[in-house]
Amino acid sequence: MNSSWRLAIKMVAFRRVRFSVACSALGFLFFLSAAQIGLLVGWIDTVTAIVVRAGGDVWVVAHKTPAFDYGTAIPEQRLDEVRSSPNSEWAEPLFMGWMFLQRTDGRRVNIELIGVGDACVGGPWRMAAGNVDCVHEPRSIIVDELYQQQLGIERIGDEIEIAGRRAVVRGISQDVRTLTAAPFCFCSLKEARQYDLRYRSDEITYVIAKAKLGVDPEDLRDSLRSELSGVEVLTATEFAQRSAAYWMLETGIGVTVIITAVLGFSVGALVTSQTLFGITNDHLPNFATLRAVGFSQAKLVGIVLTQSLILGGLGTLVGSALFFAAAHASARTPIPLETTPLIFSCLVVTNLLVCVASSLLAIRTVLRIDPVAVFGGQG
Amino acid sequence: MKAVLECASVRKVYGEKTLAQTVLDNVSFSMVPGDCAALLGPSGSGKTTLLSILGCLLTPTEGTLTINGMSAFPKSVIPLTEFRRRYVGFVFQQAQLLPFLSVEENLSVVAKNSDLASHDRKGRIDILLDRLGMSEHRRKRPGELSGGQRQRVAIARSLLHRPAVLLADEPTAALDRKNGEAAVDLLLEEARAESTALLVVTHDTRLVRKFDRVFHIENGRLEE
Repeated sequence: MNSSWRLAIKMVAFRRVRFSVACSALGFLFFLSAAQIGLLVGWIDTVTAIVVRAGGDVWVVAHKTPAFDYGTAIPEQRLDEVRSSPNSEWAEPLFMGWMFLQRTDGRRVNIELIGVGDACVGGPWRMAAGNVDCVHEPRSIIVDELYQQQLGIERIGDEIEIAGRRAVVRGISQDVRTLTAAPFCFCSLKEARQYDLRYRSDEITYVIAKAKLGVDPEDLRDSLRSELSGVEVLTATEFAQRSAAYWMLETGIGVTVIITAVLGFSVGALVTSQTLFGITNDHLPNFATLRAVGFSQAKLVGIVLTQSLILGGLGTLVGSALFFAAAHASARTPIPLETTPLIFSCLVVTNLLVCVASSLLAIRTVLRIDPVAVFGGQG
Repeated sequence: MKAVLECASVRKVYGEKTLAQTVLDNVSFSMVPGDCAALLGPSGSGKTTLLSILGCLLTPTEGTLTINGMSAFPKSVIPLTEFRRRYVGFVFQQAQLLPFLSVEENLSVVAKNSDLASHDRKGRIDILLDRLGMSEHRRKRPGELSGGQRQRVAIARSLLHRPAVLLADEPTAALDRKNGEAAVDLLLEEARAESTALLVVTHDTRLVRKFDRVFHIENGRLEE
């Protein structure tokens, strides 16, 4: 091991209790920040899941639809118009409406009812029990396993009521989460329009279209924009981004978690700064000795920077272990902690940079050391 | 023999105008390799200031300092840190060892920072520890050593890079009489063996007979 590294490690870890407490505190603060960002990633995934996983390139929506969850009626005729577009491979309808579901015990629960077309585009992407196609059976409904308890459903075959009409649970989906506390329930488009009498029989909420091979989603969007009137045409990416922006920015929840994440990093910076400053102050006579015996200022600064990286690195390791344990534990819950390799790498780099930046006070102290201080004499 | 340390007309003034205080006044002397000198003087006479200037830790107001034939003041041919790293060894009042490193690591950290070739370092550390009777304590930390043992390690550290000049600031102050005398004997022995010019600041007049030369400093003026 390089001698400066060895020196830095031994110096920073000399008082083991303080070192352990500092690493644990930094680990917890990194976990706090990572967990907040993990929540954000999980929520964005939740609010864009149906749009992203439907597999379409373009969504036709009512004007000024702020998010997937707040779609309003458009004429079903738009579906035929999209299907007749030379650039579209296929087009499917999707219904989305806020309803209430009455449990067998009489309690009512708000739900987001999704009505899918014949190809089940926009339907659940993973099933725990049953088959997606079962939505086309009469009075059939699919609910998600995460919300079974909330909906009072124990098994396939259970009966509930939606808007006063009987429905039978024929499938249990997996990982179809909602941010709104109103679980997604899936049925056929035909059934959905019968549950929600605010919709006329020739109205739907969305048209999802796939571009033909070789046609860019943007080209399909542009051509549909020129062909369709009274609606908005967005690529799936644009609609997902709009939905995420609505929930994360307009409702303020994203801002809140980002602020908490920043707070985590900030408190981490303070802890690192205070710890390094304390360690540097404790070792001022040692730094002065090193300076007197010929260590350059750059080498001493290098030692402090190395110590900040050691603290930051160990804190990141501890925090990462906590984060992945929490992510694993929350994977099957309505509020999962999620991340991506890129986002997690950015968090790690940010944390290390924050730790390095926090060493400025300690570096300033080291640069001001007067090596004459090593002489104890008064002569 | 060519001088390794030449100090000519060195003045050091702290403060300005009416507050100016001359701490060193026209100090001139030189030392050749193997020269062993004691520096005596009352508190506040300028001993530490002189030692700091000779060790390239402090800049004089006037005068010149040459170490190993190279000018350190007024114009330094290399950074002062480099002078210390290459040509100057220090032994402090308190041994000033790094408490979190073992004896061997204390030496090896300084050896690695010096110009010693990597194959030479281990051997040099072994030889010095052996000569100073500290081989069996090489894995101990300073906290596990007595004051005299710590000062022996400090002497070994100061000689590692074969300095041209070895400056010792009251190396016996923290030791009892027996250990103090032993430390000075070791310093003299090692300085002579290594042909290093040795300047020791001391208050202990009983030790001066061991040195080749004795300097007295009072009110900033040096006399031999």
